[in-house]
Amino acid sequence: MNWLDKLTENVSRNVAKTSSRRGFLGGLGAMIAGGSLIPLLPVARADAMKQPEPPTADPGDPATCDYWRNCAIDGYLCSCCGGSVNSCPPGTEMSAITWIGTCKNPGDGKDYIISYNDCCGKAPCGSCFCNRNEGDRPTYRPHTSNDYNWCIGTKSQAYHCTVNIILGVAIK
Amino acid sequence: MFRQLLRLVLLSGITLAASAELARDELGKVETLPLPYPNDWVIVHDVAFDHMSLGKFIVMDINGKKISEFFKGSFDGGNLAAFAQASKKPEMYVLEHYYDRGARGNRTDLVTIYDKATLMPVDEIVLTGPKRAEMLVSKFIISLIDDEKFLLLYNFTPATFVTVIDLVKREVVNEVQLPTCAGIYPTGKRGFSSICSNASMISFQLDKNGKVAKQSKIDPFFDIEKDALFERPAIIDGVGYFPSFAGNVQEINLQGDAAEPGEKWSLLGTEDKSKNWRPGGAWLAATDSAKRLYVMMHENGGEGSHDNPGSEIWVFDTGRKARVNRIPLTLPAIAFDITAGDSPKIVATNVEMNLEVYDAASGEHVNTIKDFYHSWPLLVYASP
Amino acid sequence: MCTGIRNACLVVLLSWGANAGAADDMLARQNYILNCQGCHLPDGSGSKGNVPKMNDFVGYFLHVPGGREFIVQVPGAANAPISDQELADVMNWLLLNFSKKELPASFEPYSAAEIGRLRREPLIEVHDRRNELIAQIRDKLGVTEDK
Repeated sequence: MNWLDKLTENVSRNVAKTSSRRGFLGGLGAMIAGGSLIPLLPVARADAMKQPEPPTADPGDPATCDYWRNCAIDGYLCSCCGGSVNSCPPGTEMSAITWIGTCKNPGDGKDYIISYNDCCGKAPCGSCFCNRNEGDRPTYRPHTSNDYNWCIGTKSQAYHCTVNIILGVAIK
Repeated sequence: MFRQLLRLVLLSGITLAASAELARDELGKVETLPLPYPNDWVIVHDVAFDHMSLGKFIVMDINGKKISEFFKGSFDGGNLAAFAQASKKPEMYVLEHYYDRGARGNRTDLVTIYDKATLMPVDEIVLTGPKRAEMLVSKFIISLIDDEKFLLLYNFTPATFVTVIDLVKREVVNEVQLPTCAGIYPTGKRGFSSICSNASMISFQLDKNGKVAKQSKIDPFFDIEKDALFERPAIIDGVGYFPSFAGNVQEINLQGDAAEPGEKWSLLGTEDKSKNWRPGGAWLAATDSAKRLYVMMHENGGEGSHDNPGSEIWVFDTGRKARVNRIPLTLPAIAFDITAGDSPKIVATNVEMNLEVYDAASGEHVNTIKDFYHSWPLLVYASP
Repeated sequence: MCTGIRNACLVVLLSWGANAGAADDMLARQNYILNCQGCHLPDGSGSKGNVPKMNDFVGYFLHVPGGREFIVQVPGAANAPISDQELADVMNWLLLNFSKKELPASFEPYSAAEIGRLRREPLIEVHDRRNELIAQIRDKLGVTEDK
């Protein structure tokens, strides 16, 4: 099991990306002096003083099982099927009925409420199967169980892949 | 002289060739299978998670070394089917559904009844749907009760309820509502029990017509957050042995009208606890003819590890509540079952989605079964 | 986006309703999200044929005998893994947010004690009981369910 190594690798890669974006924003801010970006600049500077290389807010590659939002996913990642972490692939229908859990974001240490919605109506995607079960419980407690096909109430109940949508930050 | 000799050799050669000619084959021959199936035959459910509409069940001789020896036949199970087999008649029941345009179009839900000898569908009961719970791990979401007269199906819409089918009449006779519960564990003479979402249970006894004659609520008796019971028990003489996430086993007596939670005991010794051994897997408990309890275990477990592959199968004497053997697996496994008879064998699905066979008594690895056009041979069903 | 005080951020992230802000309401909303919303959806609208609609309707149950008990004794509510007080807060929150105008004028919020008493007796034949109450609501108020 080298998921920890993978995670570390993803984090450092994303930090690099974020740094370059910050550099770009900084340059832009300097150019538009007096513009609407000004109120943001002190915040950015304060951040920079506290933490010269801040970790990204959303570390990791959504197309991998180790990605933090996938902490209780059981199925194919839509990111590998033409969709994304929070959008279904073309031509599928997102099931509104689903189950909801929480995952800790290593980027900011907060617990996020995640809705695991299935995308439905086509044969299984077949790519990037993941089975992680943090907070998953057996089928007798459906609202925390990833074992069901949650394509319910859709035109076709054929399971294709799963997205994970942030509903907010848990307050307790 | 030489010429004559040559002629003789040639002639005898021709004669030999003629005598080795193959007989004409009989046209239109189709195999049938022996009844009952030998103990060393199992039924493997290829859930085909990457092409679910083509799921299938394969009848397998676990002693076979190559595909022509181990592959005995197959039958379909569309879209995460669920399976039950009778022991008193050569019938098998597949709960499945199909769309008339692959993954879309009109959907038909049905129980298809197969004959074990011919593997032909001999009857079907078409259901109104969609209702049935569709899931990868599908034991005890379809169960036979009352001497195999009734077949019960678990539904999830997400309301939870059980369809009662009278197998003599071959028709749906009732639907029993559940207060958010799952699993159909045969209970008493003509009943079943389910585990509910507040860690309680509910039991029903049915009358001869499949209507509810008696229902019993069992108070909450475990902690779903800290130590959830797997809904995947081994049942030995009418007592369910339900492993728990944290490494206990909860006994639940299912012999009477209502489920009765009994003793809860630990599968773990002190050293096992320090290494965080846990039960886990898609199917993790089974029993053998000597009524021992087998549980698949993994090390370094914790929150979220309950579906992890197991590296060992531990064997328990349920009377003494003591471990009597530890069977290390050649490759970690995700599910297993144990064959009937005097020399039981463990048939385990390994993480490479091939099957490994172990002698249950000695733990010795005796066979590997692979390369049979399969993708997800998740669950194994031993012959009853 | 989230540069304000922490609570204001949360309100934005969770798109909370007009009377969000009180800590109890925030927790009630979160408990609804974690335990109910998966099936009942963010606005309580449910799914035709699968999950009953609560918005613009659930308040009617409190007009008929047994209705007040029923909406707590349904297994989704009674069995939710939250305390009696938390469940009371969720029930009061969802009634006021999804169905305020259907509530009787005499509506009294649920207390933890009442919830505690009701949830010890979860219903089994939920579907049948619901149909009885829907019929009573129809007879008394002339309201039919938008199925």
